Amino acid sequence: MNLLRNGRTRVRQSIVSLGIGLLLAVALSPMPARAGAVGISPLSLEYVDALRGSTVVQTLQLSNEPSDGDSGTLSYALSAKGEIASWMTFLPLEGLKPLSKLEVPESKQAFVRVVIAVPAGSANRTYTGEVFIEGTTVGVAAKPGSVGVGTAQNVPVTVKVGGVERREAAVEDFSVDKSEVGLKQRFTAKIQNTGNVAVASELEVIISRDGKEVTTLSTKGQNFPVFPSVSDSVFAEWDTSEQLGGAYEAVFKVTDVAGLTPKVLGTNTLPFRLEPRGTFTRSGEFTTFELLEKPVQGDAVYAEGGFLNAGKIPTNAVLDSKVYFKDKLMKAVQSLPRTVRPGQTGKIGVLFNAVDAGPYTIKAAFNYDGEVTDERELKFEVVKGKGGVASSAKSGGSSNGALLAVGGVGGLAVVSGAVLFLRRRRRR
Amino acid sequence: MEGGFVNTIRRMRLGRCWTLVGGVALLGLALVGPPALAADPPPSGAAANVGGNATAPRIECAWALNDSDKTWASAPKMQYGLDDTPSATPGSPCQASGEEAAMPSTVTAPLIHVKPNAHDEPTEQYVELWGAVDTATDNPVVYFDVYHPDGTKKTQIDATKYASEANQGSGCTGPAGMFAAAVSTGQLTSTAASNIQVECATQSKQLWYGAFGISKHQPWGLYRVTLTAAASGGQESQLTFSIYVQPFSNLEKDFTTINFGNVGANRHIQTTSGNFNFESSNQAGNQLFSVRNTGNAGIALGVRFASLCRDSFADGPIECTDSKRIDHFDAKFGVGDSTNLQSLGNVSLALSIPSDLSSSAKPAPLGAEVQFDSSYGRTLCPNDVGKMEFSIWTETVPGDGYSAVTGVQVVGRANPICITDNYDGHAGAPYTANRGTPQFGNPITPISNSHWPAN
Repeated sequence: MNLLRNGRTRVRQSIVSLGIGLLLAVALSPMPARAGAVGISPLSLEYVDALRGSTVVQTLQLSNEPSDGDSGTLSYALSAKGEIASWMTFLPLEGLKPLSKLEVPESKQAFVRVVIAVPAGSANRTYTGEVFIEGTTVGVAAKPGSVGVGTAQNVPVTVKVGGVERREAAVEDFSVDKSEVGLKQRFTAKIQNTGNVAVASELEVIISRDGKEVTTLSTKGQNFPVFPSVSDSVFAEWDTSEQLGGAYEAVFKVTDVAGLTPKVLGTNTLPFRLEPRGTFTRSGEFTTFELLEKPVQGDAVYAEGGFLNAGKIPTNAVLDSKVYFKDKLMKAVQSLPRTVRPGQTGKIGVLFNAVDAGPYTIKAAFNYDGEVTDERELKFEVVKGKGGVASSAKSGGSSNGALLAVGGVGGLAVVSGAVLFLRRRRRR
Repeated sequence: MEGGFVNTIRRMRLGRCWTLVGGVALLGLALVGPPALAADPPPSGAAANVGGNATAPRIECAWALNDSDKTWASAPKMQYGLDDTPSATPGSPCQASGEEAAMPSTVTAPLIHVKPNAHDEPTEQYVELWGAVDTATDNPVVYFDVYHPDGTKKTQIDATKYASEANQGSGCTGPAGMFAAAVSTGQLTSTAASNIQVECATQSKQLWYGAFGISKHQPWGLYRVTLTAAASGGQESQLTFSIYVQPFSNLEKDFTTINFGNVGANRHIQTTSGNFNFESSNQAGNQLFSVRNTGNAGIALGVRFASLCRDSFADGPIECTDSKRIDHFDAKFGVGDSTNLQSLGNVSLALSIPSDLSSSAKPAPLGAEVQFDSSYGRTLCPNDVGKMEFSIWTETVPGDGYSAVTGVQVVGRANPICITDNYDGHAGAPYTANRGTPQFGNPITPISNSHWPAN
């Protein structure tokens, strides 16, 4: 900065001597002052047969796919424009909290649901607008004293509003998850909405054993909307800790309660088994281990691991990690437990504050229902002060996590575990 | 993996004499040069008889899965999960009742949506194709034919039996997460997935798979896939479905800031000329301005400018008034060569591009977007590099430093006139296979599926 000030002083002196000159911005920032790329798919959104008063949804994918050595987390800002700007809301893929910004780590992508609430008084015609998406690289935006350059993308939106309500939906799948005594057993109905108004789905499951009703599960009062042109699930979970293992039967009934008169979308009866404790083998793999952002000294460090449930039943996975600074154990950090369903990979992370500068190592393993995966190791170097140059880091084991980190070390404060994964509910 | 041509010969060996004669002729063609794929005959339809009278295998279901984390090149390779439009599903066309799973012979809704990887990095986007085939006949020949949106053939993939007799039981669950992803993407009901695994374990069904890559140099749109299962010495059956390759853009630039240098008042100052060489992305200090699109769909560009405010004044709502800012600009942009450069606003100060003149805030907001035209010379097709230049009109501002955190914004918008947009780009004709010479080779060159890891 001294160099910058000195430079300006010299130039201003020359300006004064010339009397007419002026100095325009010069990029003298000691770090790359970047304003990121924008990766968008698809490039337009079209909502056909949208009923006035209804809500329709489509999905945008925002990606951070750097090339040629560029790196860093991208921050996307979304805004709605045009005559239907007030109709638009942006939601994450899961959850109902509107967003206008989101961050996408390097080499990752994120989904945004573009929700259109068509006003009840809209005339039948085609309306247009756009989603305007601006991308900037987190923490390394252009500095004052320069003319920074950013990127953005327009995504045109077309909404064809019609006037005839079509309340059409069907249950395409009923299922009962495998489970054993002591675990929750999930009963799911998957609904496809082929109409043009949202379905408010409600599931009732009557569970019986040897012809006698054991319990009734219901999602009444819960919010399980299924928007037009979308498939989504409604599910109920049974706490089996006080139950006996053996053969059972589940009678499903799915109802759309959105209209004046509830409409049954489908019924089915499925036999199922609740197995004794310990029946199913657990199997899990520690697939990836990486830092999602470049921490700056004093900032939080978030390390995320991927846990693949290769077993037969859902399992609760916890990321147990130990943080070392200069090869000295500083802190044990544990994530909150997260249920990972069979065949799925759960991203589970730990978060701590880095106060001091120097080399860090995180050694971690997943603990799932008493089993433990192989341990992985994550090494990264942190330099002092904000705005330092990022340096590469290595991930041990077979993890493919590429790490970048800047910042500092010191006392380590556990901030949270898997809280970033709190969701309204898991729909798939 | 055997080539498609090998399968053809295998089928021919078992066929009638006239088929054998034809096979010999095709073999001759193959020996003198045409690639195996070119020599492979197109599918002959569901009713085709490739020889003999053995009952055709029954294809119960087919499904497709993409690499959800898009990093197929590195461990853990294929990651099953959501597709690229999670809210749209085909409605579980593969369903089961009793001991059988079934699917309509032609499924119109795309089974999955796939977005290729920008710049094809770290690899092309990988797609797995799966089929459950009834094994009433032994040793069927199973293959997938993949077609571009315009109907031309992309590739033929010889399927590999995933659950062999040796591992029929354990192999019937497929790779970890595969069936779960097929269900969650709405292709199979959970009942159907369970049915296929159970029936496979009793050796009455087999799991077959193949894989191929989709490059961002290939056209986006609806790709038709035909799964064919042919009995040895008998008939064949087919199942047709589709996957949707999504359009996408990835707008990149090789610069981060603009340096207009030490200039005087009442001047029209233009930056150093840009170039058509894309240096590494976001190079601080680079003043040879270039932009590119590493997506698979064409985009046109526009620009927005913010007032450059005096450095000696603090941030605030009224610190960037007319006498304290530079607020008129112009820009140039073109693709390919300098003859394609279009200028916006550089004729005169009166016709230049203003920032948001209604605001006196520092930092200043960006003004309205001004767009370059949508002609081919101003369209960034996949991997095209465009050149940009920028100018300022200093007017009577006093001597000082002038800057903005985001003084210029380059804005992309869809402009589907590239070869990968199913559009000729010049004459308005539909996309034609093998036409054009994109920078990174023919966009529809089929790739080998030899990348698939060992079973």
